[in-house]
This record gives sequence, C-alpha cells and structure tokens, in this order.
Amino acid sequence: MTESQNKSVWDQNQNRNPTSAILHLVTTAVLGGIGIVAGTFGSLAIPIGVVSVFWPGQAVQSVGCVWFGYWGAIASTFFPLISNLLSGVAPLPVSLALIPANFMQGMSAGWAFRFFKADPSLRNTKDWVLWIIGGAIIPNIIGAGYGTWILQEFKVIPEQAYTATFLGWVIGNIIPTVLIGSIILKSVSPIVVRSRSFVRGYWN
Amino acid sequence: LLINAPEGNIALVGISILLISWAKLELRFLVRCIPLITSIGLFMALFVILFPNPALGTSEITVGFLHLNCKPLFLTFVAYIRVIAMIVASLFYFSTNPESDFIVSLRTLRVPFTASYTTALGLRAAGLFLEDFHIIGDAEKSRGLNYSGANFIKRIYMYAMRLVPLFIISLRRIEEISLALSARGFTLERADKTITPRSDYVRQRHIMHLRDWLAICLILVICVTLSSIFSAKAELIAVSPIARSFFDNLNHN
Repeated sequence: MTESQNKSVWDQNQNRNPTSAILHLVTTAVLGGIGIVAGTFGSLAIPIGVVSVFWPGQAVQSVGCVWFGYWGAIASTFFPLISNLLSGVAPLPVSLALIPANFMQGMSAGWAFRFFKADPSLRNTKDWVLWIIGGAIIPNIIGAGYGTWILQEFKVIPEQAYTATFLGWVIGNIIPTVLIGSIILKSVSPIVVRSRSFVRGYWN
Repeated sequence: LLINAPEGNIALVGISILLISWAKLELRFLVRCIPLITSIGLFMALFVILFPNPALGTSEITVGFLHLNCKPLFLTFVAYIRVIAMIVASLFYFSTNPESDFIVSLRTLRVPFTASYTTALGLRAAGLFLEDFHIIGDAEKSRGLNYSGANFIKRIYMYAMRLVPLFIISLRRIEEISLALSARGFTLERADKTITPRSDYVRQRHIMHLRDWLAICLILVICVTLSSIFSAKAELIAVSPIARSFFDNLNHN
C-alpha cells in the first residue's frame, strides 16, 4: 500500500486545492436544493400526517454532513423548513421547533466519521458499522425522541402515542438512511473527497 | 399558533382561501393538498382513539364497534384546525410570493448577504435540481427502465441510483457558481474599510417607504389583537363558543 493510500481522507495536511468560504456557502445552498428535491418531491416520500413513514431527505442530511461538515449541517437544518412549507406537511412553527432534531440527525454522522476517521467511501467493516450506528441509528433515535416530544407539545399527537410515533419516526428514517445513503456514499464519495468542496475538518 | 379557539382558526383558513382566490390563483392546487390534509386529520384522530388518555374523562359514545371518548377527540379537532390554519396560511404565502420577492424582502430588511444569498441560491437550486431529477428519470425511461413492476426495495435502489448523478451534477454546479462569484469579487471575509462598499442593486431599487412601515405595523397590531382575543393561554371554554356549547352538551348528557 502506498503512503498516500495510508493517509486518512480526513488528514488536514494532505495536498489539496485552495478552498474559500464562498465555495462552502454555495455548497450549503446547493445541498439544501438537493434536500428539498429529495425530501419533498422524491417519489418515495410517504408522509402520514406530520411524520413520514419513509423520508429520503434524511439520507441527504447524513451524507451532506459527512462530506461537508457544519456547512452540510446548516443545509440539513434549514432545508426541511422549506420542504415542509412547500409540501404542507408541517406548519412553520412546528418546522422551526424541529431545527435541533434536524441538526442532530445530520451532524451525528459527520461527528462519527471525523472522530473515528472512517472513510466516507465505506471501504471496510469499521466504516460500515460507523455509518449504520453513528450515521443512521443514533442520530435518528435522538432526532425522533426530540421531534416526537415537539409534536406532543404542539398537541399534534397525544402523550400516550409517544412510543408509537417515536418508533414510526425512527424506522421511517433509518431505512432510507441506510439504503439510499449507503449507495450515495459508496458511489459519490470517491469523487467528493477529490473535489474542493470536501470539508476535512468541521468548517474547512 | 397563538390562536386556540377553533372559530379563530376556521376564520383564518377562510381568509387565506379568500386571499388565494383574490390573488387569482387557481384553487386546484389546494385540491392537491386534500389527501395530505386528510391524512394529518386521520393520523391525529387515529392516535387519540388508539391511545386514549384516561385523565380526560370517559364521556364515551359508541359508533359501531368503536367506543370513542368525546373530550380528547374534540381537543384533537381543535389542534387539527390550528395545524390546518397554519398550513393553508403557509401555502398562501408561498404560492403568492415568488422566491425573488422573498429575497428582495431579506435584502431590504438588511439581512446579511451570506444569509440572503444562501437562501436565494438554495431556492433556485431546488428548482434546477427538480428539473435535473426529471431529466434523469426521462433518460432512464428512454433506456427502457420501468419502475411500475418493481417492488419497494427495488424502487428504493432505483431512486438512490437516480440521486447519484444528481450529486455529481451538484458538485460541478458548486464549482461553477463559486468560481463565478469569486471572479466577480464576492467574498465573505470582512470588507476592507478603506474600500467603498459595493452598491446594492436590490436595496437601491426597492426602498421602504412610510406606507410600507405603516402596513407592517398594522399587520402586527391585527396579529396582537387577534391573539389576545383568541389567546392560546386562555381557557378554551372562555374564548370559544363552539367549545362552550360542546362541553355544555357533554355535561347534560
């Protein structure tokens, strides 16, 4: 194995093209655009009330945060606001209250990959385990726990329905994250890590 | 959000629909939202039937084989009307305001360039990617790919494969847009105080007049007045004749 292959993709000292804040800002906006398309207009999104049984937008959130760090997290936090408004799934105050849930759902994968130096191209078992646990299961448990509490506070669901809604949310997000996110990470990551927009740290 | 009484929220839905028709928009797009609005209602009703709260009393009515508790169902109806009022108001806003107007409002209110530009580009990117998404779908169809007979797992797989070129296109687009911005001298770094600030075309063209500020103040006054009349904090019975008559009937029975 050559020296370059041994280096982690997260190594900040690697030779790379210069980046700029404006590039990351554009990345945030464009990722938001993809999220809106995947989350709102994706033919597979199945909203039941204010909870989606199957929400592909979650895959975009996790994948975006793995590649683009906090810039991806900004996009992941705000695109559900617009996509919920456009589709009429949830009113603005509910969407605003769900901001922390969306942040956690996206950025947990970004933290896990950077902390444990996992390869976004999912090359070995460690990468897969981190992706499934840190990128799909844990963030969705946290996000669903908080999100369901918000729905309860807005009286969209009764207190007794907490567990059922929580489980519906978790399962409805984990499945697309694992299935769709894995394919995207595996296919697109080798190209992204060579591009200027890839964020090795959290901000650049 | 501030109005708890169902009368207030029903009025808000009516006003929003009137404004939509006054704006000469076809009401057909609201018809497309009916399945979603219905599913929200069914979702909320189903949860309150399947997970009843015993603390809310046992004023049951029997419909067929179902024993329904009236009080939680009525409170769910109140919450549902509130959600619907917010959704219809949001739909009205987004169907009558093009994204360019939204951006102009951000720039006029002196929202920093970073936030207003990112929002503008995000909204524009959504439109562009939606177009790309359909083009990719058409390309797949022209090569003989047929979704109709596929099972759910296969459809998920095909959907993910459709997102892959979308991400590749996005990477190219990020590079092009950021280079174009850099070439025009846009930067997020703190501007050099010795250099004259770049003139803002949007702000020069759209100036806030006294009547604009008055209109905003009037809207705020209306909102505060309405929310104080139908306040969410006040007891529902105190602010809502519908709730009062419902609970009176319940007590008589």
